[in-house]
Amino acid sequence: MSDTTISKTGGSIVPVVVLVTLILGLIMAVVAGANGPIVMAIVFVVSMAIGVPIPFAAGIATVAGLYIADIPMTLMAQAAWTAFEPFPLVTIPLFVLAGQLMEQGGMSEKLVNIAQKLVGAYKGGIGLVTVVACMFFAALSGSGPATTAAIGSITIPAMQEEGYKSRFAGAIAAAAGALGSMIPPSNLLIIFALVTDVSIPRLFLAGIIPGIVLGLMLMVVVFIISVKNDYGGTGEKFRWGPLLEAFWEGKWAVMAPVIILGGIYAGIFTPSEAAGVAVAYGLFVGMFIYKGLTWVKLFHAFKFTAIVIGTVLFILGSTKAFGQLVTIFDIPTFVLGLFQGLVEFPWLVMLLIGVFYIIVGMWLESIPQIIIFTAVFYPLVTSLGIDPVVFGIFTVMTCEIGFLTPPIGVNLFVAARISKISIEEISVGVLPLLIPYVAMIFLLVFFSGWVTYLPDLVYGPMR
Amino acid sequence: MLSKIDKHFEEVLCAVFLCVIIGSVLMQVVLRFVFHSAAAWAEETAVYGMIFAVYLGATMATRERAHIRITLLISRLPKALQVVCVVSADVLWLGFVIFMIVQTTTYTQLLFDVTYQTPGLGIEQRWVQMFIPMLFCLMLFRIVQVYWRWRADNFRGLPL
Repeated sequence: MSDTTISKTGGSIVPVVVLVTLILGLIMAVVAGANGPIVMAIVFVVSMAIGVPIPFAAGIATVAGLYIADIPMTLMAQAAWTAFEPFPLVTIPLFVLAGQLMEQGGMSEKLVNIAQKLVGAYKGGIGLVTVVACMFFAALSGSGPATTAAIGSITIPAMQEEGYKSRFAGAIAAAAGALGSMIPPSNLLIIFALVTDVSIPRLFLAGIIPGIVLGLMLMVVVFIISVKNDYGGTGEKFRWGPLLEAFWEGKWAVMAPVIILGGIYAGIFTPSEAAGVAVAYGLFVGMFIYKGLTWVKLFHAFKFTAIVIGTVLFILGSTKAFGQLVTIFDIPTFVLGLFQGLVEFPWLVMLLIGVFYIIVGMWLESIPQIIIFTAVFYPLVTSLGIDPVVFGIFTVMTCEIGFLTPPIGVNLFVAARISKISIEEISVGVLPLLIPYVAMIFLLVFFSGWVTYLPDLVYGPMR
Repeated sequence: MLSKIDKHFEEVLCAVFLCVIIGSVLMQVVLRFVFHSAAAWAEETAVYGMIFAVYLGATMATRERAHIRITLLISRLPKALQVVCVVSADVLWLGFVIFMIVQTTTYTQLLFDVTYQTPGLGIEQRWVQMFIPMLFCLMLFRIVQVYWRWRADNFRGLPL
């Protein structure tokens, strides 16, 4: 992915200095015999900085850690297999594939159509449509970038046509697309659940309300900006007729979340089975009802899924041993000691973790981030009496901000490509839309009771 | 013929393994609702399908240079340093892959000395796990192939 290649090429002295400092730091750390975790961190950063793909950089750092801790290297070989053994993991490729099938099969168009009838007539109409359609699609798909691509590829050109600034149009799709990993099903919540043993359905239920609230806040921001710039809006009065018609037209698309989520909460399927059913449903509707799915598109969907799991899930194999190293080096105790003075103020600890996560999220993919840092912070957070479910939602929320901030913001890449503008431009455009996300982080830190309301209602309070 | 295999080998196999996952998971649903029974082995075939799909997806991404790299720093370096960085990064990557081939091979040999049957399918672990070193070998081949193509291209641009 050379998307980050920025137009300025070479010449400047600063990057060279940074590179040399990094390498010097590595040499010094090794010579001075720094302790395991520090060497690991430096190896990881340096190898990533010179361009080793992230999963392999993590692998190299883990090997360094194993070497220092004098642990047999067969642990790596064992992890290369056992890391993938937990059955709930199969949910992720299935949801990626299902999202692809539904997008290629023509469901995203129907969802945009419904949203159009719902909010399209107001000021900033198509902008609002984008947010609402992303919320719908988020209930079919577990991934943020996929949601941005599915809805954005339809609505961004439409917004540009209506005279929206390109950077604003792209930013809306990017910011609303991030809801894809908050509103269930969510791949990131599955990963969090696997690392911490919190139940997946509980986390999914907890994601619903924050997801919807976030969507509403995004709509408010879009509306305000549109009023200011006088974007769109036919001023037509809202009528039920066309809306119901669009609903009927898109009934097969609307049924998908009902089947997926309804199936999980009615206890009919496990989340993994629901993902399998979603694939079958997407295939059936795409091929026989909407007929958008040709053999070429079908093969493309499989290929896309293969690349996604090959580049993203692959990291599990190299970081399984990493998780064990975290325990061996006793990092959680160290972190606990670091925050010792702050145990009285759990909110401050959460905020600090949040800031840290956001900074890390600017650089790292979300899945590696959750795997690596949840192992480090989760013991601390639970010992402070913070609800694990709330922490899960909090983690995903900070990762979403990572999606939306340069230099490595996958949603921004996707939206920038669709709207044909540079990363820098869209990064500026997305700033006002980050306000709801930051507000949500504060809401989660200071009043978290409402997050667990829904799961507690359905499953009873946690032990 | 050979170029066709080169082009589609991982894609096709990966699609097949994805179908294995879907088939196994759906079969569980159907078995439970229609026949009120369950197959313990379906969970295993789904997981094995996923493991192979992940590794094949990773080798496919290697060939297409689709693995996620952070190019923020290197994209701002002078051209010569860029090449040095990317090549040394790939040498590190190559080294890691060779390391994994050695380790997974020793591990597989270890599995050949013990009996370790899977609970569901009742097959020996070694017969499935021995594919991991092979898949890492395939990845090694793909990395080398990228450089082969770069040379054929007279070292133009970056081997990215």
